[in-house]
Amino acid sequence: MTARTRTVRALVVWSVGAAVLRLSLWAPEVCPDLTRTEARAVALDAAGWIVENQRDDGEYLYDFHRGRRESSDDYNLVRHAGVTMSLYQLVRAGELQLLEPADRGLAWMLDRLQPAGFGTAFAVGSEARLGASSLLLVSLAQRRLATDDPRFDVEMRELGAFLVVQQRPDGSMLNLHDLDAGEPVPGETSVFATGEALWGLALLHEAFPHLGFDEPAWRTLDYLALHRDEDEGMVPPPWPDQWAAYSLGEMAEWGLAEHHITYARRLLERYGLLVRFDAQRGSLYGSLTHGPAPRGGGAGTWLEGLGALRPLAHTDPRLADIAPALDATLACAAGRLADRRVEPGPRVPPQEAGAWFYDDLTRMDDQQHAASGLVLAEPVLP
Amino acid sequence: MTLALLGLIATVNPAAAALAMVRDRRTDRPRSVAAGAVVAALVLTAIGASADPVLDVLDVSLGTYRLGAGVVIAVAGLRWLAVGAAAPVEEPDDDRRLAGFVAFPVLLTPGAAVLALSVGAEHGTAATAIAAGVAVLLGGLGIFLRRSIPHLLALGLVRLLGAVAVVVGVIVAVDGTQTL
Repeated sequence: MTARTRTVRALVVWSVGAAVLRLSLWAPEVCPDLTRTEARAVALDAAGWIVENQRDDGEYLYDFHRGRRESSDDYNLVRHAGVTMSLYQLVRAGELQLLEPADRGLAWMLDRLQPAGFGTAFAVGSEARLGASSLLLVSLAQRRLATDDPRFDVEMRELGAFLVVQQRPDGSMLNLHDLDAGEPVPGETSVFATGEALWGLALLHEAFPHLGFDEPAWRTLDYLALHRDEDEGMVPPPWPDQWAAYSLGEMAEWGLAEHHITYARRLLERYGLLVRFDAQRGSLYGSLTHGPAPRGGGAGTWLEGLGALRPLAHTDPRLADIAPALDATLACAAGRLADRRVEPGPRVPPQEAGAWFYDDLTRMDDQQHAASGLVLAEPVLP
Repeated sequence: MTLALLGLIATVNPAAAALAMVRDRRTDRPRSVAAGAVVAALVLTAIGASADPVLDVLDVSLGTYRLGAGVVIAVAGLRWLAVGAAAPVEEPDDDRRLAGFVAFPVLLTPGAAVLALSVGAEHGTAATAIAAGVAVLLGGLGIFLRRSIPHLLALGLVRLLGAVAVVVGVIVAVDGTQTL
């Protein structure tokens, strides 16, 4: 081989390699512009989907398939609680018109409280799920913060007592409670419910500092930060847990230890990777090389995680180095999410208006996470 | 900075440079080799200096870039590790062509180019210039001294530096996934 031949071959390899990289790992990241006002409007449209399709008794529309134009018979108490919580977050953000539908969703849950352990649980049937009671507690806490109304303080404390019963000595939380036997069901945990319970406990301590709910909260936060990913087989760690992010944000003033900050940093890094990859779907060929965009609920949780940790990153000097990048990532994620919703209009049916669809299907938590995330993203938007 | 220096040395791979041209000629032309090395060092430094505008033009963030760069470096390293250096070629007769060949493709490898941009974005132009200068100097010395380096030693060093490049590539890629 001559030097010339080798040089030409090298040029070909460089050119082909650059093209392959540009189509795959180095595809452009596209972040649509979004203003604060537009983000609020999109969040309100999502809330509009929830409220427009809500029944008089407070139950929400669970899902809708726009191809078949039908809803399934499924329902999920955890998601009902999460949707209600999201409505209260919007009330806290100033959208007082959502208090009435949120209270209807709340009443539906309070009608289903049952004695469990030393407290009460939100459950239908003989088994209570930790996540449902946790998010009901979070809903009540958000309502209390939004309205200063103490009328549900007893329920909050009783739900907190139930959560503590579900906690194991290492801080992990059991997912189920046998209401007939009056004790937790051993052996089953949930990657979602543990963080949801932690956020509930943290908010409870914020509301009632003298009751000692900070101790179980610290124990579960330590578990999430140090052991959960290994116990649950999360590869690669960490599980991008927006509930843990909410909890870290809530507990920021309590004096977080170094391992909590490390966990927060790892969560932010994970969200950064997810958002960047999603932004690459926005290029001309991105949907081919990077697959379809995630559900509105999935992308919404990234915004929630980033937004919940933002105040911590901007106030704790140990995270100051990534605070500017966090803002840029959050703004990008918000623009991407807002770009994919169904814009309401006179010819758009209420089961579609303001919703995010994946494979022609939308579910209540798509709108829940998107609305919550967009409100949390507002501070970084112009 | 240590990783940047080690990475650029591994991706320039002075041992592979020493084996790039046949060893049976006796036309030592240090000026051409030096000129090629200087060009390579300047190009790598320029790549590092232009990191921010290049990333802007590409519309990719540093984390995304580093993920791809790590893959390029690791693949280049794997090739050296698995099959060794490329077959040697006849030394170009013309001095300018020799200098050009030394610069590209012998010293300016894909791994070195992508790593230089990453180093520039993270550590700045001066650091890129120093690391690239050291790596290219070693590469130039490898070419100039190729007849006095035992062949088996050079072959072994190619693979060893390939292994180092794989490790550096993995570190860079993982770092890319952990960059917000």
